[in-house]
Amino acid sequence: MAKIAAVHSFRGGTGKSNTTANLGYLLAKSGKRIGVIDADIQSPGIHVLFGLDEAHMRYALNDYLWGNCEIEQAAYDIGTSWGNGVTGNLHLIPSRPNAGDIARVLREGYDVARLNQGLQRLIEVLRLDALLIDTHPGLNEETLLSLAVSDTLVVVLRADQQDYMGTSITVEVARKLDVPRIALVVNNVPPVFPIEDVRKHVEQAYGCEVAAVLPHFPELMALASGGIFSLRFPEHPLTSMYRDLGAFVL
Amino acid sequence: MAKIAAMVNAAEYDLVLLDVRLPEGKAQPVSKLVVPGQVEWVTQCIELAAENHSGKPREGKTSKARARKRQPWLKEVVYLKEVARASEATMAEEAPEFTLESLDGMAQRQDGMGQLARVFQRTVREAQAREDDLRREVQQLRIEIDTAKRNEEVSQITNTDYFQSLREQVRSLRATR
Repeated sequence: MAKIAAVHSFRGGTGKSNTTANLGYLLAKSGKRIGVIDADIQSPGIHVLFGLDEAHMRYALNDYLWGNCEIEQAAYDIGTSWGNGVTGNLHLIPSRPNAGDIARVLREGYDVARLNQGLQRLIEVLRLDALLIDTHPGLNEETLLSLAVSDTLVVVLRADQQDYMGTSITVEVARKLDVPRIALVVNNVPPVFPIEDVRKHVEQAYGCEVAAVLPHFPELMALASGGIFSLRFPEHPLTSMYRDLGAFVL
Repeated sequence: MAKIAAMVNAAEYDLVLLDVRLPEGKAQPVSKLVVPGQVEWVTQCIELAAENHSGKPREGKTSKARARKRQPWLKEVVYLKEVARASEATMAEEAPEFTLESLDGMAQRQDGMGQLARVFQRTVREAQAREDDLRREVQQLRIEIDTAKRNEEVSQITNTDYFQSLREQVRSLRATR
């Protein structure tokens, strides 16, 4: 059965979308059929990492949620456009950065049943092995929806005081929604922090699995959302860490 | 000659003052370079490494002028050697065996080299202090969560009608999947 995994963080700027994009790319490259859905209608952006131009988005998740199209019409096959002979089966369901839609989602929200139907249909039509949801930070109603329909929740945080409380709230709320599997990814850890030490502390503090502790690499910052790190640096240690994380999620 | 060449090649001398065919036991001040004038000797020396030679009989005035000219050149050799050492130090800074004190002598100099050494020592010391501070913080890496406050925020979310109905819907959705 296909896995649905939500990648979330309580605050913005934790590297959530980058993590999702790298997971999606590496899983697809390894031969899995992967869907990546941008549920962050208020501040969409993962399409930029995958190099999908807004001008080429005929339909987006917004259109499906408002009943203007079928979900598969908003799915873009981007598994063949990586160059260097790299291929994989990857579909992206982007959100459209559109002021009207943002206002509408804030005003009306959207329906859990419709989102869930859409995800199930995508899995069926595209014969997916896994569907990754890039969520909106915080815990608004739309984010709760994404959590609610997921088998696995991956919460991305930094080793930063500002992230600790929000992560704890997220984990508790997800537990109350009976999310079957909750794991943490500590991202962008300064090199002075020993990895195993961080892992131990975080595990103890939240009482849940730590799927990865990813050190800070200046190369990732330098890429500045200019593409997918693992595609650009296939031999980099961070790529291998993303690969392990992908195996964990699946 | 081959013996001398091997010695020169084996050691890292800044300058070799070679006194050829000096009568045994009769040491002379090194400023008196003596080569007995045969062309093949001089050629061989130059081919090996020699920069210059002075022959006999010594031309008093020329020799003095030469010595004067050589003085800044020698200073420059020493200076360049120090630059090389400083640059090696920059590269070795991350090596565990490197000590900043090895630059103390250079830091005593009154010229630009000395200033460079002092600035380098100060910069590295500051960076090390910052790193030590960070390391100390790591030992104090504690994730303290105010559970009372957390629980309050969680219940603000979970006590809403929206959350309750979402929870019900999700339960039935999960059951049917």
